[in-house]
Amino acid sequence: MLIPSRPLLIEMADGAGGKATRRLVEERIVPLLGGAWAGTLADSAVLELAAGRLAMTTDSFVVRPLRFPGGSIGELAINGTVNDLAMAGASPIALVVALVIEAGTEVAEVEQEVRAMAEAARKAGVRVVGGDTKVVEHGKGDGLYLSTTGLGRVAEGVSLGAELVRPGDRVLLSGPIGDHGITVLLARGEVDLEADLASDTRSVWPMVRALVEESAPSLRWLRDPTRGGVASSLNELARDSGLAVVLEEASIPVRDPVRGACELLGLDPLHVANEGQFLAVVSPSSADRMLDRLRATPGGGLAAIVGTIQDRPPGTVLVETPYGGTRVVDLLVGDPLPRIC
Amino acid sequence: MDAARHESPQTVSPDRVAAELRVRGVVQGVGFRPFAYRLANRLGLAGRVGNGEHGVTIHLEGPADAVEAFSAALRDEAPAAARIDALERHPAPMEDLVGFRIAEETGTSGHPTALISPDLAACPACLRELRDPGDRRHGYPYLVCTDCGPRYSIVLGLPYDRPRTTMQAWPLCPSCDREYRDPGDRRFHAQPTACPACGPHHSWRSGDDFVRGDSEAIGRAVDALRSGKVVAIKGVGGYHLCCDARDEAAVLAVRTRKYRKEKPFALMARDLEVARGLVELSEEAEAMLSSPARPIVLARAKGILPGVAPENGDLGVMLPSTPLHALLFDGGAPGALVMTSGNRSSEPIAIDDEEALRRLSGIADGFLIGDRPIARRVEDSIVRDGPLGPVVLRRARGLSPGVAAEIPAARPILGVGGDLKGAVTLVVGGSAVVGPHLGDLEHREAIDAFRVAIADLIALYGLDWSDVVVAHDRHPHYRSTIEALGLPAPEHVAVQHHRAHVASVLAERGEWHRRVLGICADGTGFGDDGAIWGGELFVGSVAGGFDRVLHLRTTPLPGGDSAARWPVMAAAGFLCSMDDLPDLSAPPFLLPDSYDAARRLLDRGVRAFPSSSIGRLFDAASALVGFTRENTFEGQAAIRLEQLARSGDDRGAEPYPFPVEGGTLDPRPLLRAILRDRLRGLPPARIARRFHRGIARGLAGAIIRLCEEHTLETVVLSGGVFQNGLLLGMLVEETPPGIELWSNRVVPPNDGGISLGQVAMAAFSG
Repeated sequence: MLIPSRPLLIEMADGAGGKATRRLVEERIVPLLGGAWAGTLADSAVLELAAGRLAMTTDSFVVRPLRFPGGSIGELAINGTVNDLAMAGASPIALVVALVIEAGTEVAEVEQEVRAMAEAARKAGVRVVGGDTKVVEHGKGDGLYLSTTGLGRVAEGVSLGAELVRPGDRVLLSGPIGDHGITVLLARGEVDLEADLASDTRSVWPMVRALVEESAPSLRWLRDPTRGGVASSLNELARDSGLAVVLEEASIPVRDPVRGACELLGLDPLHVANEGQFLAVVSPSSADRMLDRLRATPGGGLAAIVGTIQDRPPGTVLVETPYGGTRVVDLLVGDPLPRIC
Repeated sequence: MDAARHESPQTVSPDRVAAELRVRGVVQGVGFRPFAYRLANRLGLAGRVGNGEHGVTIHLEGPADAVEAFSAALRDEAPAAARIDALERHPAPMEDLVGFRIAEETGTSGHPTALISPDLAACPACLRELRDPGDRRHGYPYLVCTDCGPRYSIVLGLPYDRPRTTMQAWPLCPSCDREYRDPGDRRFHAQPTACPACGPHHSWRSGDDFVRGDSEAIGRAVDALRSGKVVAIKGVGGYHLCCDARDEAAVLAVRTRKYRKEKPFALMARDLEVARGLVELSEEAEAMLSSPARPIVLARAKGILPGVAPENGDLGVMLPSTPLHALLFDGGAPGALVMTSGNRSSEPIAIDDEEALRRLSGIADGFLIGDRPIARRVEDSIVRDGPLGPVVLRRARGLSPGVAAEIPAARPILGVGGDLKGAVTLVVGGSAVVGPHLGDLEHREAIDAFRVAIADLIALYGLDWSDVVVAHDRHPHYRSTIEALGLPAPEHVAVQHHRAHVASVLAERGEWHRRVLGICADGTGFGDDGAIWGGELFVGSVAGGFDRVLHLRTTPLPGGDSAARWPVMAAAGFLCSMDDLPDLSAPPFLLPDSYDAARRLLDRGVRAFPSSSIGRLFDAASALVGFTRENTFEGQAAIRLEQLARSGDDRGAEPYPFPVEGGTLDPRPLLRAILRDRLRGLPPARIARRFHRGIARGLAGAIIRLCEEHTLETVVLSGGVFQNGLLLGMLVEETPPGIELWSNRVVPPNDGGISLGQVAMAAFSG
């Protein structure tokens, strides 16, 4: 393969809608999506679906740097939307993808992310049925923004919502928290730690499906604790249900490098972002079975029961520490500022 | 007091006058009415005394000189627990009364502005009865009289009356009822009064062993303490964990089980004599130790009790405060007991029996449980004698709630304080009532207590939220700020942390317009510019506001709160702008990897917060002279540095340079000197001494310059760093005569005092 003396860059013309755009899409994006591409280049994708409940979601992805250990923006864009569907108990059917590319970005970099999307879509078993590409002026973006919209089919017997959560229900966590957030910090070169750590980005649908298959009626509530971490997701649950979520700190899986980085940075792992994890609230009687099933599913080996729903104090997330009592876990507002005297 | 207004009594007949005295202050529940009764009888006056909505009202009839004598004696001879804030005298119609009587309660209507007294230690008269085999209350742990015993911790509502206390479940027997109704009796209207026949009792629980009965239960507890066991004892405001302070194994058991690695334990000494054997006590300190508040008094230890206060030359000692304590010691309990809050690590003290049994079951070997419920959690108060007189370090049992200042505010103002040492203040009717220490608001129990404390004050004074101004810290993430903004008050005022500290000193003294130089040396507070402040010098007054005129040179501190937990990270922050540093990972410094990690955070500017904190400067210095591990409790590294410095003396301890350079107090020359002396092999104690002296001289230099520049004569010192008695003493020495130094006397100089400063600033913010 010939290595060009200067890398090929995306230009403003590539997004002007003319021939250049068409060439970019037809020659560089669609072919790279490979088997994941199931669309046409028409204005709309037309899908033929059986009757049932559908889930639909959209999300935009802004990540710096674009690539980091364990993943990249392309994988996040697919997995993030697939996981949002999974949180409705839905298996993914189809996605549409929009790219906003900053002029001056290397074409190779864009191609790499398109390949990453293709691979993630293949793994998640979802087809890309349409898309859009725009180019913004140099300096007006961080290389590449992605936006994905997904359609999914809600599994039979699944009914989810904070209002269905009852005191006594248990909180399940699919695996160790904080890997993604800390990995991205490390990849930015902001934290200099020798950490064997990779982003956990992945489709969680296989794990959710395992729970649905085990006992769909026992499943009350699902959430993927991305930005704002487990703390934010559970605070939403507490607020929306009017109940208390009481976590047991010792049972929450956190890898040592994440713990170490959080200690250094003055962060609480509960506030750090995740990509490939989810929280589930399940009925008390099903909890052990659900946990066993989750642990038997590939990628769920470190899942744990981390807490219990209680009726008091309403709207609050608490964490019981092995020593030092019960701490209130707040919704994160901005960067945590020093408060210790 | 100044507020008293004396008017001529109305003359009805040549030799007899009638007058009405209105007494405001802490006058309910402190034996004030029986005192007035006895006084009137002594002076041959007729009339009546009653509790009213505004305190105590006394109607007097008799010779004018006797009325005059009554007024004077009312102040001079008032019960120890009473506090008269205002005494007004008005003319009254002559009713030609015969004799003096105590009026019945006036009911529950209206808004009581009379204050509820804090919990007080057993009085000598009660202790005599306790030990008198002929007395019907001999050996009874719940004996009280109007001069002593619990108040705040048992109050369920106002006016203070038995049905509104946790004693409501125990109806008085005929004998107690007789005393309760006899105006001449010490127990006249003593709301918590009881006797073995009608009152609550104690029980002992240890595993399957359950014993009921005061003397049996106390006997079991004494046996357990003597055999090195850890005992949970229900006190006035919560459970204490106790063991023999001289039994190292028992002390270490408490440490291990409580997850309390190094933070010093408080002691209870059997009597003053035992206390004198444990610590060096000034006259002032002895007075505080024996005062009805019975606080923990911090003083220099005379010897080492292994495990009690590791690496600390001070010990906290208190004297028995309840009849139960007296019975334990009389029964043969070891003369010095560890008495620490019944909790794990830093969580709030346990008050509920079930909760205590659950939470403390892995810590205590046995439980001495009293039947009387605790309505409100109250921790032990902590005080210390210092270079500027006694200082309150934690205002709780025996001291709060109480009026800390008179503030001229037209509307009620609630100050919600800070986060790590929560305490709220309510200004109502011109009085600033400071509530008890609540602990770290990160804890659920502390937040609950915070909410209860606020609800209590609002309800006790019958306030309507639509009249209340709420003052809070500027820190947007403080739990107290978030809670304050959620209160349904029409007006919220944000007060900057360190201005609140300075204002708290001036509020104590009622100095609203005096222009001062205010110095706040503190750990962390949110500044006007969003930076973390903590070494601030202000010029101004409470009424006119404070301008920041000088501060510690701003340096980035890495890792947010981590820099407060890890002194080496604070060191990284202060050293990051200095060149030619020696290898700090090598001897003699041996800073751990976290120092380098922090340096890298600073290089990249990640989670590095600009800060001017003197508290962190002390941490950094402590790290450089050997404290390279994690703080296991707040202020540990700084306390270690102070202790090191105290172990040496001033001979050859030239102060390190701490100059004003480029408009800020520059710590770099001082840090460079520490590095140099460490490399030269100077002992850490000497370096710590020179550091302290350097800070004191640097501040004194700034004081001299700024006082001259702004023509000021008064300097106010507040903030957690001034809990350092050595530093304060040196600053007093370094400051020239003619400049007056004021520090906190009533509320703590730490964050426990800022709610008072907040309400003072808010009162003048309009």
